[in-house]
Amino acid sequence: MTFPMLQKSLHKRRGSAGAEIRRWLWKSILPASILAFWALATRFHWVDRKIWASPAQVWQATLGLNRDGFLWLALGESLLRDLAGFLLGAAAGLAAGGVLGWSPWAYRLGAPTLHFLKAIAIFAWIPLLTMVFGIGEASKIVFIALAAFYPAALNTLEGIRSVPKSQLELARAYRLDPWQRLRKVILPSALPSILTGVQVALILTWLATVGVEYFMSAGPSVGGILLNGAESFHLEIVFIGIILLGSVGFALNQGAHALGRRLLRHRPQTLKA
Amino acid sequence: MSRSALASGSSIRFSPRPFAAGRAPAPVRILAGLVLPSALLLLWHNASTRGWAPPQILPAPAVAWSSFLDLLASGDLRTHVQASLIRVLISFALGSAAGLALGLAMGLSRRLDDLFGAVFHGINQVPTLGWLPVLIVVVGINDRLTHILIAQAVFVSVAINTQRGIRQVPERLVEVARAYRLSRTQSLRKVVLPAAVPQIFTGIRFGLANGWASLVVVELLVGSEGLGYLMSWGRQAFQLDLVLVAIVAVGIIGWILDAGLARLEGTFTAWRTGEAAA
Repeated sequence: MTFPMLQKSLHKRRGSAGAEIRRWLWKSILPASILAFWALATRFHWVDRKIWASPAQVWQATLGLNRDGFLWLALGESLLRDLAGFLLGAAAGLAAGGVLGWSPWAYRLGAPTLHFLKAIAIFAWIPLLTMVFGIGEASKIVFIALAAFYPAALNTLEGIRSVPKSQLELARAYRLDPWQRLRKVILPSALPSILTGVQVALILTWLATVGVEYFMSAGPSVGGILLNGAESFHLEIVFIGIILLGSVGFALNQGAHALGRRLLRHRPQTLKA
Repeated sequence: MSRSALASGSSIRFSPRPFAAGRAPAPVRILAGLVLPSALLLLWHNASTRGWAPPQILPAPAVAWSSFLDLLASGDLRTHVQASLIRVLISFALGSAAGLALGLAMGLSRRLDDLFGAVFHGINQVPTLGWLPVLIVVVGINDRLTHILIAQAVFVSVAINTQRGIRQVPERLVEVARAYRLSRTQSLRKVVLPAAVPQIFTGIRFGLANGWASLVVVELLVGSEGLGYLMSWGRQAFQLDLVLVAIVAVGIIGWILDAGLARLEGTFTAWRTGEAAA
């Protein structure tokens, strides 16, 4: 007995144009019905209209909120904050990971502490940070940097430590100096892992940005929009915040992956053992 | 560093691990690992005893230790840890069961994948933090909110990884199953699931870590007990010692949860290879 269902479903099949259209229609059934249900449910008061806004109201609220370009301002504020924290944290992480990966002694001294600190859920630092730095901009950026630090440090560390032994031996045989060793042997081999770390850091800093804006009040910002929406029970405002949050996250993710692919395409040849 | 340092092989040895660090004898490794924490502790002690920082901001290590002992003796720490753990485990059970179900459905059937895909990936674009305000408005601030939020965090990563794990089962394995004329259940049980287990476990571990992290977020904002609540209470009362105890507890429990799953994964891997060989 064969099992065509498994065969078909596990692996892509190519279809005709008609099949493609049918598939596309099938794909849009659920989103379309959710939208339709939302519109109907708010239109005919199947749900509490005090809480649930209709799709039209979300659109109206978006226009209203953006009258003086407020949404762009909020988005800009959040992105700048994200960028500052990301640059700070990723740089520190790359440096720390580099040192720990390069020197066995630094690894012995620092890695256990790093691994323990990593286990602490990052938002757990917020009360401590606010006590030490207050709830100003510095505190927020330190928190965002912290979110970037761990993935950058750990992936750099792992990347360098997993450079194949044979390549290092070859480097020694060629009597490469440390700089050449870094450039020709270690970096090419560790780069994919380092880039993964930077990508993860980029995604996490966006979460941390919105989260920290949520915890420490912060003027116009994406987190501020979410918080205001929840506090004033305006679900349509919350939805605007969610859409901003999701689309920036999506864009960052796509951008990071595109950048990663580009950088890896140009990566220098590794030494062949 | 000079060329001679390189030539002497100080950092390159013929060891199974590239950078020899993991090869030091265990006592040396443990002692070396303790150097940095001890140095930090010493710095902290000096900072507080010499008044580099006001005691409201930085209590002495001894103070933090004694509040830890107090919390332990009074049973408060146990209450908070228990509250947090129960929340996470309930939500984890719900979220991972639902995630497994959807992930299996979307992995095994392309039609179901197409049907749920758009909505699922849309929801997945928005992190847990984004759903929090929605739930505050719709569900209100209560335990149900905590459960839903954490279950959602677990659900997403389990579902995604299960689906991917099944999709990435190598085609040749499926062909082998076909050559052996296994029935659908048999091939699912003996070929597809065992091959997908590692990825599914990745999802479960990520899920639990996400869930634990989300728990802290929720408890910080809306809790009335639990470790997150202990932290935010400590902050409001300007008792950094409480905050520190809670932070360390969050770290230790997070680590234990992950280590537990790693062990479980080991057991499952044994099952997997055993089954695959049979």
